[in-house]
Amino acid sequence: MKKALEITLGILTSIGGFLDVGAIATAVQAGASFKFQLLWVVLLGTICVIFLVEMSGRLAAVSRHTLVDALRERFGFNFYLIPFLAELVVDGLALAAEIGGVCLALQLVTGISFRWWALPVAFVLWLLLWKGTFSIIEKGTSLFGLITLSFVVAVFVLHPPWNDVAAGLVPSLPAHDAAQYWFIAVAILGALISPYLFYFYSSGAIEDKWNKNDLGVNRGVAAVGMSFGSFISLSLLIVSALVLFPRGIQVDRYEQAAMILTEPFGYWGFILFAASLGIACFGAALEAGLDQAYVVAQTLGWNWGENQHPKEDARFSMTYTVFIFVAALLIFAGIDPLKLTIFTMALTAVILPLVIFPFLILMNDENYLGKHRNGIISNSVVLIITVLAFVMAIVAIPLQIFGG
Amino acid sequence: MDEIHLIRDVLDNQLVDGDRRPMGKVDGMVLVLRKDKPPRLAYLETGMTTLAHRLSARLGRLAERLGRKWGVRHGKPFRIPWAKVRHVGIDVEVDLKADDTPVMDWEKWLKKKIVGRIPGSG
Amino acid sequence: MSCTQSPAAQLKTGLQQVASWTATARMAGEAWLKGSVPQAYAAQTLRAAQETLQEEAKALEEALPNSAAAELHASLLKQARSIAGVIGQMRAAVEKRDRQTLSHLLKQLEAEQQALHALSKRGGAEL
Repeated sequence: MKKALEITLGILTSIGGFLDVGAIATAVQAGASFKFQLLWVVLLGTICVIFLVEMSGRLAAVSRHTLVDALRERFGFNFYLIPFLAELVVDGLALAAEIGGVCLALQLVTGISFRWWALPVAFVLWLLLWKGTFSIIEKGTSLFGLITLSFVVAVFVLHPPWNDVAAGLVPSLPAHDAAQYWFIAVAILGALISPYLFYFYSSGAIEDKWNKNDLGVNRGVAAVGMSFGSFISLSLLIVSALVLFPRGIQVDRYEQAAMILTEPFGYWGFILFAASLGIACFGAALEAGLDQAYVVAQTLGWNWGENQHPKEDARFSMTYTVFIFVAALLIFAGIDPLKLTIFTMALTAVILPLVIFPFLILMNDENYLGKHRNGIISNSVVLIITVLAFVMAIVAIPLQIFGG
Repeated sequence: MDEIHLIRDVLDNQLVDGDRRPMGKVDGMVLVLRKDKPPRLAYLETGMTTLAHRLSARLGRLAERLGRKWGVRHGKPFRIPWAKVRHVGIDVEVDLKADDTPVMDWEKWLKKKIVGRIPGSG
Repeated sequence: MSCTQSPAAQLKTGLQQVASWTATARMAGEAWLKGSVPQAYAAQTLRAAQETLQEEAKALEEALPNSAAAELHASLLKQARSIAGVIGQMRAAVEKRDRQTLSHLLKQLEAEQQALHALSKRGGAEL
């Protein structure tokens, strides 16, 4: 009974936490520019992240190490420095992008420029991390994050042509604008396969004191939670395809996406979109900020833990404090939030092998996982999708930048 | 006697004290050369200086200089005698109290000067 | 994000951009009339549309000498400027909460959109 409750909570967490600024921005752009054609990329990214999250949880539960601990130990500091720096940079940019998303949502509703919201939002984020516990943050994020289900409801209100939707779930080549197609595909993969997701998950598993008995829960949460979460991403893409594509509206600024729910829901649709954007990004910002502190603290062996009072882990607390305010400064400085988001997602896809290959090696190491090592399926799926993402990235990004 | 694989199980592993409190990572190991006898593992080292030296000699010297200026223990890494190691498993447990060692110097300083002064820090 | 596109590709992108922001302005105007979006948002979006179109017009003007299809290019430039003007008036109407004027301007915008669509079709054939 307790297990069932745990699984349900875990799934809710994954649903509510699945959507973040990257997933939203890329889904909206994909739907607006290519209708249903890029649905298969969302599916691919989801499958990959399900495996990665499950692996991350399994590693923590069996070896009692977080991913960071295990990586540094297994590969030594010198080699580990490379994925470490890559992760910090990408995580930091992601954090700034998430904060940008929250600020944009506030601009939509109040009319006050997103830049003015950067520091207040950072302060609230910081306050929650300072005073909150891991459990409260996890559950709060997931509960409030359920507002993003409005995208799923919108799909059914709008009556999509289901045959066309199904066709989009199968990989296809673009009929036009190939460079843009593959670039958005790369960004989608970078958004869904965000390293901070599975790094954070392993820290969470340790915070929740998981052990070998929790492997079933882990599998359930990863598979079901992430799947349900991806429904929201897919829904958002479909809604964008139904509302923006027919009008020929391409999304170069968040303002153009803000109206997608007004077709099914009128004024409440506008509010729901802003709320979904703001809440999803806020939750993701909490995770990304915490994750940066986890990564630094675990790399250097400091005492850490969101369940502890800040005084008990001063270095850990100062780390997320500094990272959050530095990220907020980027937004305050006026960097375009949408451009920052897409840039970060593309960059993520490029550095993915750096972060994932060591992870895969670890997951096959008997010393850490004993008989719970990766099977051939886990290895193949993750390897193939990672290589695919990387190859797409190094081909599509220059093409997009230097014109078709 | 069981074997201990130094690189695999000691280097870069988590150091914990007698109360299982984190003390940083094993950043380095120091062997002592002896005349007519094989080298002996003498100390475990922990500290940013040691880490910097592992990356390159230049960075190591820079870390030492910075440590001397701002470091709480004057840029010298903290050494733990091998004899103090109680257990090598998931973590490397040593027979010390973290608070009595220099590894918590920054933690204590931050707690006193900054974190402790911010309301709500517990 | 297209620094070194071919002239034909630039023109195509230009067509897409103008169409996209024109449609955005139309959707925002219609939504405001229906009460689906707040005034501040509508005004800001219209301003963004106007500014983007003006920038696009400037870029088109600079690229005109090297154009792949000079007549098409010049037509697009003219349209972009014209639409930017209409959108500017729309923004003013929203800021004054003048629903009647906005209604009227929306019809104008619709007409411009149709002309743009015809231009796109020519562009699709020529480019």
